[in-house]
Amino acid sequence: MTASDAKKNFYIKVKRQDGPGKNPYYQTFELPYKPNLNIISCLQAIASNPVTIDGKQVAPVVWDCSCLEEVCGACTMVMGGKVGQSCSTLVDELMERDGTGSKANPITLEPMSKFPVVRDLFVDRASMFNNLKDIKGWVPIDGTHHLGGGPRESQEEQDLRYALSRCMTCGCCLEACPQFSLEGNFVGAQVFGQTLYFNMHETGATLKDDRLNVMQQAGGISDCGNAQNCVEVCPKELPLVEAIAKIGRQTTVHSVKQFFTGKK
Amino acid sequence: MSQTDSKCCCGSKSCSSEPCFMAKNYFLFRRLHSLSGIIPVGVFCIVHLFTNFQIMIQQIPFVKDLFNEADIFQHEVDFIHSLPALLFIEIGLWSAIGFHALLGIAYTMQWKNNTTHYQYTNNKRYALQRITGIIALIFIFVHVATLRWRWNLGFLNTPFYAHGPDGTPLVTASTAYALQASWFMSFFYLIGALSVVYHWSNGLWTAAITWGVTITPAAQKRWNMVCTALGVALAIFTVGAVIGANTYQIKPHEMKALQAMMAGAEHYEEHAMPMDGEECPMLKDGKMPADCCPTDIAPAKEEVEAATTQPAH
Ligand code: HEM
Ligand code: SF4
Ligand code: SF4
Ligand code: FES
Repeated sequence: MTASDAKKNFYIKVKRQDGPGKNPYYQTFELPYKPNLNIISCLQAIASNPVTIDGKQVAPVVWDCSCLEEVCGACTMVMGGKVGQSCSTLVDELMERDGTGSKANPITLEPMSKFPVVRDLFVDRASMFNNLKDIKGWVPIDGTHHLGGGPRESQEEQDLRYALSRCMTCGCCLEACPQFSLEGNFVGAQVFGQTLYFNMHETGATLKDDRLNVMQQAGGISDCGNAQNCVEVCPKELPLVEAIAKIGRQTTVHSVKQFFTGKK
Repeated sequence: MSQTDSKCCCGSKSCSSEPCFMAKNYFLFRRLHSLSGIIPVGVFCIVHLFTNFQIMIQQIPFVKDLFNEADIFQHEVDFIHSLPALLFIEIGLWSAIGFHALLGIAYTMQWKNNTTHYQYTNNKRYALQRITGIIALIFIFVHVATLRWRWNLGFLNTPFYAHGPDGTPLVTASTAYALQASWFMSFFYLIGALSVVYHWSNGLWTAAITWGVTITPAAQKRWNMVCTALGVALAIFTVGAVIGANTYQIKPHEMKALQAMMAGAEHYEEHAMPMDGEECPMLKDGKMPADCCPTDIAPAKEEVEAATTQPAH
């Protein structure tokens, strides 16, 4: 950006929706350009002066956020057609990537399309947390007695489990997945990552069969079509394709065992 | 979305509250879908495409000299037709293709295309896998209906006969006839068969992930090279077969025999293998061909003549 550019204003077009089930509509806002602006600061600027380019005073745009440093996943939305975190996505990046920002071709902000909208850019990500409950995404430890030292884990396993632990349930992988839809029952890559994460844990593995039973169902692992968009968009760089292949293998073995042992 | 919310595999919550047979065995069906694509259908396709390739190979002079068979393609098709229980093989293949295609269509309907915004290679491959599957379905149907079942689709009447009424080898000629019917046919065969090739080789790549054979991205990359090599080889066979079918010059006596068959002499075909006069072919209606057993049950000479002088379509 040159000095003259620095004074320029730029435009943001926001997809708005007044509440669940309401009809969405778009509004465009004009904002003064500053280098290194992130999308959240644009939304803050709109909130402080919610006037559209037509000069209409409107309700401030609603969005969700918390950590402001790409670790909570709350601020996930679709920017310029692509999903990401609005706290860590810069206006400069979007302008460069899509050539947007002008009045004719503004930067677009939309809520994720694979989750129910609460209002404007704020969506309800509860389905992901419910899915974590379904797969028993925890390590079962009952009682308060001392369990002794944990089992030893190889460095390799630690590395993989650490990578899987980084998931912030943001929903990017589901938003970008061509198999995942709001209406369908496919659970998506986030669940596969976490299923592997807990199955790999020595104590967590006691619930492995329960998790794989869920993976076997309609909407489980076999509904993945290997488009691998999930791994491309995951901001925490989870090894999702590896998780999908491993869960695919575990579920196959699990099914064969069930067939021969009759165990549920 | 939540697993406990919707019971049915179709994703519909309005389905009966009891999970249906399909929903209960969802994983099994999905794995069988993958398996049916790779083994029965896929392996058949490899053999079939390789066989077809001979139509070009046998026209290359120096390659031809390596074999003591002038018409390798004819020889191979005769071999396939001589397989015992061919009907069972055919029924097996049809069940596998039918099963795979039916579920394939159902899975394709789950697709939410987003290739405009997410232009990753694998996303395009995923999209192509679905598109080529649908093309394959149309292609395989038209291909089998016109050649194997000899349906006259009105605009297209290219029945396949291994032999003419008098045993004339017709494998190469009738294949050439089908592909030379119009430029569109060659184009249709190219697009159709190449779609199948892509679909199978890409399917082989995804299947390795599906079954958890290739786990790491590095392993997937290596397997991708193997699948690509296979795909390229099959594509060469396909293009070769289409070229071969187009360069083949149908000889007048082949054309005559083909036309005779098309004009209704097809009853001869089943038994009219060249048998060096050892055995007399019996027609389906219990008659014998005129030139074979000159008895009163043979069709009238005029009948055969009328059939053989029918104009080309
Ligand atoms: C006739 C119409 C066909 C349709 C509609 C169809 C459809 C599909 C679809 C949608 C998939 C993707 C499934 C998924 O990723 O979940 C697929 C996979 C596959 N198809 Fe087909 N297909 C057809 C014919 C064929 C044929 C002729 C072959 C063999 C040459 C074949 C071999 C495969 C293989 C190997 C896979 C990969 C399975 C996997 O990833 O696990 N298909 N098919
Ligand atoms: S796997 Fe990645 S993209 Fe998916 S929810 Fe977790 S952090 Fe987000
Ligand atoms: S590999 Fe593709 S289909 Fe499977 S979860 Fe990832 S994005 Fe979805
Ligand atoms: S606010 Fe937490 S990830 Fe953006």
